[in-house]
Amino acid sequence: MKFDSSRPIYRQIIDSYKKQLIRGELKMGDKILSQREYAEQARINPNTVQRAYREMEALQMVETQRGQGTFIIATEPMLTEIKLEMARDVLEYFIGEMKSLGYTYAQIISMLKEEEKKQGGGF
Amino acid sequence: MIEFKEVSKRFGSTLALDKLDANFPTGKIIGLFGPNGAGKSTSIKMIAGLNRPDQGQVLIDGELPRMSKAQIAYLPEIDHLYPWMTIGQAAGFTRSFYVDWDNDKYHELLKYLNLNAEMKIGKISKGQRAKTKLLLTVARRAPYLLMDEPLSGIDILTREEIINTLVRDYREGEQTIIISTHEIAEVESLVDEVFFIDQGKIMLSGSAEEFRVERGQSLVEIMKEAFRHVDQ
Amino acid sequence: MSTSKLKMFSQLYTKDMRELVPEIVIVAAAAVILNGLFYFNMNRYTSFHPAVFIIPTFMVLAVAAFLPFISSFKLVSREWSNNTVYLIMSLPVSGVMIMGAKLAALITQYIAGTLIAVLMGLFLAREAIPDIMKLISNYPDILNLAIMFYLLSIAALLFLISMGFLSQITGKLSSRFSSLITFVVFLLTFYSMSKIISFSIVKLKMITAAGSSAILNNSSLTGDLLILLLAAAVVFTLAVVIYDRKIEL
Repeated sequence: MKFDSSRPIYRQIIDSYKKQLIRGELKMGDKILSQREYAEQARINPNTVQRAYREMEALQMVETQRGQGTFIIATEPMLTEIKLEMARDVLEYFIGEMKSLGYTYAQIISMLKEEEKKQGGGF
Repeated sequence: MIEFKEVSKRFGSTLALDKLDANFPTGKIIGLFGPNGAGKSTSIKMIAGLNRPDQGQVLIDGELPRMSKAQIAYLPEIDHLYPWMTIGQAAGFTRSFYVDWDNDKYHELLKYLNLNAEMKIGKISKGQRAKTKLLLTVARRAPYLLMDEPLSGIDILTREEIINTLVRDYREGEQTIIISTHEIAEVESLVDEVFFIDQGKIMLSGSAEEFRVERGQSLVEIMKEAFRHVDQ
Repeated sequence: MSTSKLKMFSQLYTKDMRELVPEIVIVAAAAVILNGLFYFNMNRYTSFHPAVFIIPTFMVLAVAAFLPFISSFKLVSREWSNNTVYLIMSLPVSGVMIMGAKLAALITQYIAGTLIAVLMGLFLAREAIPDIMKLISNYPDILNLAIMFYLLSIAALLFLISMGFLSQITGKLSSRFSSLITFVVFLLTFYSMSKIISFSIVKLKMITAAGSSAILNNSSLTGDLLILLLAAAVVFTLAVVIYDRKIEL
């Protein structure tokens, strides 16, 4: 996995897991890579992975059982929450960029409606 | 923990270290970054006990470096092994001096790094020599691992092997690795703490992740910015 | 992995011996060649006194005795030229072991070389004088004296090698004037130490001459031996202290 060096790596680890959860690539009860396995495969500092995993545990996304491994414990409501949170991030970024180009909300909404028509309603 | 307390060192007319103050925390991978001649090698050698401060003090867990040599695994930039020895002989030599030698790890790493105990150190390629130096230091479970430019002049594939080896064998919390290099991009995602050194002084130090959070920059970018004035 | 001072010393010793193997081979080759030359030309020399066979032995002995002193410079300077001094200096051992192992290796080289010379010589002599072993056993005093002189030579070599170490180590304190300093320190140490030694020998001889008639007797030689060993110890210690405390890379 390629990491963007200008953003904190531990957050990118968490984000990548969040994406996998939202896309359904990981489900409740699935076993994820151990910290060491992840660090070796990604070739990054094990301390960084440890930080990411600890935060995921604090967020109740995962749980580590001694001798067994680390498992996804994220529930449906949590997934919805995560999805919403990530959507908000993208939206904030999008609106920010459009605004910096000089577009108003009304213009943004009409552009979106046009896109929707072009794509045949719904991506 | 390794402490540099107002350390100054002069070589002839050059002031290599200028009242350098630093605390290298235990159990982390630490990057010592700076341009050539900044004082990186001198600092590393001082920790290994190969030179002494003119003023100030270096302490390793409260002891002087020359009393702590058994805790240090030092990997210098130059080729420092006996060229007539085979890798196996060099291993036999090394392990007689250190109680922390792990023979199982040695054999396992030998295979992992595609090396052969019969290879003569003077006859193998530069990349293989770099891997041999790494092998002999990492086969020990030393609390402190000092690496002076471990990747310079090494081909890309060997660099990957070296970094992979470091990651897989790193004992977080227990082991402290100090990597001194001017090739920051290679070790960007490897280091916990960074110390930017220039003209014998620490210019900037802190946690790599915190730098990324606060500045939204990579370590490479931070270095370029910090040292732009030096190039002038 | 357990480790002991003995293990460490033997590793250092073996490593240093490995560097000296070429020289020992030279001595063995010289012994074989010189003795061989005399052996195969024995007929031509029958008109001479059989004791002429001492000549090749003495030649080889000279080579065997001289080489360790030369090698003492090589053993130290090579660590620097090969950069292996980075390895040596980062080992958790004091200079006593590092230098001590080199000293032991050089003495081994000397003993091996001289033994080869003497044995080869005896072998050749036996061809010319079949009863030579019996002859020697008839003069135990000469044998004793020879052994005493041999021990004295070892002590003298210890002293010379220590001086070689000291002058080299002192030379390494400066990067620019290394060879010059080595040369000067060597001369100075040689001069001052030989003055001390001859002074003590004279003193000792005065004391022993009062109570004996023999010009050379064992007790005064033992005194010379002890003085040489003491001088060697002082110089060696100085070299080790400078290495441990003052040398930097």
